[in-house]
Amino acid sequence: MIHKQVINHRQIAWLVFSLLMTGMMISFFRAVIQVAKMDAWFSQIVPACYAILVAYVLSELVHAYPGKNLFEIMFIICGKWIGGFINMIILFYVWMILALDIKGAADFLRISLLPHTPLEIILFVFVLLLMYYGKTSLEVAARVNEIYFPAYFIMCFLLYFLLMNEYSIERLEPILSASLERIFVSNLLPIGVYGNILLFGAFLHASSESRLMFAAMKHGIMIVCLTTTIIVLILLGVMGHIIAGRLNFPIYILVQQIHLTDFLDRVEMVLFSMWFPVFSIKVIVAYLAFLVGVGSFGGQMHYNTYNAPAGCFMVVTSLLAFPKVSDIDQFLSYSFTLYVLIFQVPLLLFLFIAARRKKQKESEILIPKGTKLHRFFRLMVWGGIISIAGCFLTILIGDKIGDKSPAAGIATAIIYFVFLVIGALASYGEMQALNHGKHRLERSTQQEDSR
Amino acid sequence: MNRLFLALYILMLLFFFLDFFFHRKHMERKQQIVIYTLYILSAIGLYSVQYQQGLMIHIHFFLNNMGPLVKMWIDQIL
Repeated sequence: MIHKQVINHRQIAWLVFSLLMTGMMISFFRAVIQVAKMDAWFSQIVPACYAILVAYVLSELVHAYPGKNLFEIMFIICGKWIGGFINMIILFYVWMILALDIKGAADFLRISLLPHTPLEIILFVFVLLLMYYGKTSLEVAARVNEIYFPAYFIMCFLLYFLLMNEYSIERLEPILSASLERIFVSNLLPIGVYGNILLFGAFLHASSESRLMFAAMKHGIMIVCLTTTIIVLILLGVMGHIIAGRLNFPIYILVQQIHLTDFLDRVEMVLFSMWFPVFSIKVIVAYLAFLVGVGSFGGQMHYNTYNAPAGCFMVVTSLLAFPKVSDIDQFLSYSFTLYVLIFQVPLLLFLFIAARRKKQKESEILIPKGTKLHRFFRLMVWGGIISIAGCFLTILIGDKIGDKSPAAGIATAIIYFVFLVIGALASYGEMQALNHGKHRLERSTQQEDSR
Repeated sequence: MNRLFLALYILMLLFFFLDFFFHRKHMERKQQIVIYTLYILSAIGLYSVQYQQGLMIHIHFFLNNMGPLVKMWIDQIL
C-alpha cells in the first residue's frame, strides 16, 4: 500500500546514487568526451547543481504537502483535468526513462554478453524481474540496494588501482586546454541523466522530514558527482579522448582493459555482476514511479493491481521506442537533455511557487540553535556551498588566469578534485547532523511523554 | 520477431487479461478503465512491433527528432 512506505536518509542517498550513476554507465560519456575532449571530467558540476535544485523543490513539496506524492500534489494544485494532463506528461517522462533503460540494458547484454540470445527474450526476462519487484514497494528496492551499493561504490574507486598499469596522466594533458564554451556545453549534456532525480517525486509520501530528505538527496548527488568525475578521469587516462569519444560502451571496454595477471582473465565479469543489480534497482525505482503515476489515475492506493498490465505495456513499447543502439545513444546524449530542460524547469518553478504559497506552518527544527550540533551543521552546510562555488571558481580561474602550463593545469585539477571531495564529505556531515538532531528530538519527546 | 518471445508474451498477456477480466467486479470503474487502456495499448503495440524498424509507428523518430537539431546547435556554439 502506497502510504505505508518509509525509507530512511541513508537509503535515500544510496538510491539517488544508483538512480543517477548506473544509467550513465552503459553509453553516455561518448558525447561528453567528444565535446570537452580531455577536459570532459569537469562536466559534472553544473548537472549536480541542477539536481540539487530539483531535490530542494521536492523537499519543499514534502514540507507543504506531507504524505502526498507528486501526482497527488498535481491533482490537488491543478484539479482533475489540468492536473491530469500534467500528470500524463510526467508519466510520459517516466515511461521515456524506463523504455530507455530497458532497451539500453537489453541491447548492452545482447551485444556484450549474450550474442546468440534474441533481444526480445532478454528484454522480456528483464521486464519480468521488474514485475516481480512491482509487487513490492520502494522499501524492498531500497533494502536490496543497501546490499549491492557498497560493493559497487568501492568497485568504482578500485577501478583506478586495477587500471593503474594502463593509466597515463599525459593523456589528460594539457588540463583545461578546452575552451570554456566546450566545458560549459559538456556540463549541459548530463543534465538529462541528473534530471532522473525527479522520479523521487513519486515517493515523496515515503519521507516525513523534508530537510533531512533534502540533505540525503544532496549527499547522493554529491557522491555521484565525485564518482562520475573519477570514472571519466580513469576513462580518459586509460584510453585518451580520441578512443573514448568513439566507443558505444566506453565503460565496458574500460573494465576489459584490466590486466592484473596473466592467469586472471575476464575481470569485467566480476565487475559487471556488481553493476547489474544496482542498475536493476534504478530501473525498478523508475518502474515503481510509473506504477504510482498510473495508480494516481485509477484512484487507488494499491498500485500493485496495475503491475501486470504495466509490465505488458512496457515490453512492447520498449521494443518500439528505440529500434537501434545508435538511437539510444543519440537520445541519451542530446534529445533527453532538451526534453528535461523544456519539461522540468517550468514544472519545478510552478511547483516551487505552489509549495511556497501553500506552506503556512513553521519549518520543522531538527537541531536547536546555539547547540554544538547546530554549529557543526552550519559548518557543513557552508562547507558544501563553498566547495561547489570553489569548483566553479577553479574552472574559471584555471581557464582565464592559468598560463596553460602543465604545472598550472595539474594544480587546477588537484584543487578542483579537493573541492569535490570536501563537497561530498560536507554533504555527509550535513545529513548526519540532521539525523542526530532528529533522534535527539525524538528521545526528548518520548521522555516528555513518559512524564 | 522471435517466435518464442511472441508465444510467451501472448500467453502472458492472455493470462493476465483473463485474470483481470474475472476479478474486475471488485475494482472501481476508474481503475478498470486505466487497466483496459493499458491492455489495449499493449495489444496495439504488439501488432505494430511486428513491423520491423518502426514502419508502423515512428516512435523512435518522435523521441529522437530533436537529437540532430541539438547536435547542430552544439556544433554551432562551439
